[in-house]
Amino acid sequence: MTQDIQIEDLNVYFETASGPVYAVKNLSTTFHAGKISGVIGESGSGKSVMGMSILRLLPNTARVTGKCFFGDQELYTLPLRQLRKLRGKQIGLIPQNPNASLDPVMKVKRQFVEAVTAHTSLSRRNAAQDAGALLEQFGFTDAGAILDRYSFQMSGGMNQRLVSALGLINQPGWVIADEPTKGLDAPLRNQVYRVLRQIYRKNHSSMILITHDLLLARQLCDDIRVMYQGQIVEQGDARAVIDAPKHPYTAGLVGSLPSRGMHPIPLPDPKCEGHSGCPFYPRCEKATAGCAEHPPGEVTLPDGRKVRCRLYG
Amino acid sequence: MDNLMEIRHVSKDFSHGVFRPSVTHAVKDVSFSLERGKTFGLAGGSGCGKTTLTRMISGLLSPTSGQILLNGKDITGLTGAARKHYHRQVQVVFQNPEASLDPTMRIRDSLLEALEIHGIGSSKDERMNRILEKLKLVALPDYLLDRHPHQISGGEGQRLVICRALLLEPEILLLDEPTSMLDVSVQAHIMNILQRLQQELGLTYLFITHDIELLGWISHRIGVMYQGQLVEAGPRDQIMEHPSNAYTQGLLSAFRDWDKEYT
Repeated sequence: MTQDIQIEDLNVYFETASGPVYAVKNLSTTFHAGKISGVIGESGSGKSVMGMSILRLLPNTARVTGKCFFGDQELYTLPLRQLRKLRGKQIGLIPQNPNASLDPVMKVKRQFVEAVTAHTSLSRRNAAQDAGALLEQFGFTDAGAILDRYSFQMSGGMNQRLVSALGLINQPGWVIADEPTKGLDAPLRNQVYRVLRQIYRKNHSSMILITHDLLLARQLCDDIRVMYQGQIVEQGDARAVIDAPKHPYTAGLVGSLPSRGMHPIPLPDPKCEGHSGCPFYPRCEKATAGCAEHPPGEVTLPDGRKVRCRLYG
Repeated sequence: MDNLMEIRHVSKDFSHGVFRPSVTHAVKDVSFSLERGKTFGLAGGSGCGKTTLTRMISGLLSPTSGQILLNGKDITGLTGAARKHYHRQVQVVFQNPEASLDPTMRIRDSLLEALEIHGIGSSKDERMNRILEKLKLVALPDYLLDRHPHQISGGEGQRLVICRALLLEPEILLLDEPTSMLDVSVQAHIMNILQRLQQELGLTYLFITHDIELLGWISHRIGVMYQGQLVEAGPRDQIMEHPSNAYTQGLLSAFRDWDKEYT
């Protein structure tokens, strides 16, 4: 049985000439084993940084404080040698930007074989067979021919499905999927969705899905965390969060969807700069004077949802 | 109906190989027209030929056969000044704003260059005034002009690209997946700007995307491409509510009905 991934007081910041810039601020959350946990938010909200911190894949310039427990192991201080055994085998990764994640001078087959033989004693031939079988699940009808190609000979959508397969090849108990449907058209997006769903059912994998695709998150996830400027502003049951958002930011995101009329979230009001309160205050339509002064704490609502907004006390 | 542009039986073949040449029919006998001041939405999956078609309309590729008429004049094979004039009338906004702005130039210079190439404005002051006026249209602050493309966000970049296209006061904007790299909230913002610009300036849009819901929001007419052919075209309501083609139905249900199987 796999264990929960539990993040406590995570801060990630980058040192710049004008002082530290925080990508993640005082974030604590638990990703439950056996569930699909969603993380949504705009670009720059810190969702990918949070996801990458679990496998310690952030650039060297990032400063990380806090703890991340995986069972009784603390991932942020685990010796690298042990972490390497865990990466790909126990916690798999589906990275974003597939074109940059595949090695352009190595045929796809070798990349799959390498991923398998790094963790198992399987022969290269068997590893290649496994890869072929998995690719067929991902909708490639001629897996053999695909394995014999280089990443640049394929379209972005094909590469996206390839890195997804690569992240799942060792059947890890946990999968961190970072934007697995970015740039895919609707039919391909559904295919990736179905494969993730199938893998989750078949292997009882636990999953962290980082996405800005709200409808995908609603459909696939059990619970959702909404991130804004490095903080989780709302957390709760996936359908409840999307269908009846509580935080004004979540409501704004949902209202931006084409199917909900595409009402944009207002741009930051320049008059509200330089406040010390809620990070969403300059864009919030429901802001009151108090919002500029004190950052809101996390409130647990009767339905178990957690919201970081003064509207709720 | 006042048709600004007509695409008549346009096809494009690509041939590969020297010894055993093979031909890919990227676009096959596509016809439709753009009504002045309205949006024609073109939907289709990856590899359906919609980008090839855009490239032909923008003059980057010439069709193997067929005609593209702007105000009744065929634009295929235009050269020199006539071609330059055509580019001024028909501007393109591509998918990736970062790739559309020169990374080594300040935003100001990227915008000025467009005006200089087309010889618009007699002095730099006059050109700058025009830039400031168009920046307001896309709701961008002036201080962005001093920045380089890596110092701005994706949403700002795409609005700058739209702004640069507007500088030339075109009649038609070709929008090739202009929001597919952006967040939903930024997408909503840009779509609202595009809709307002169309109302204020009477622009004609050809909007290309694989997101049929987005098309449903902005388009007056919609065409659906599949494997190089235009399989269905008609008024927005007809395509969105009562599609007759099986592929269109599949595309719509891909958005509305997740677990349903289709081919």
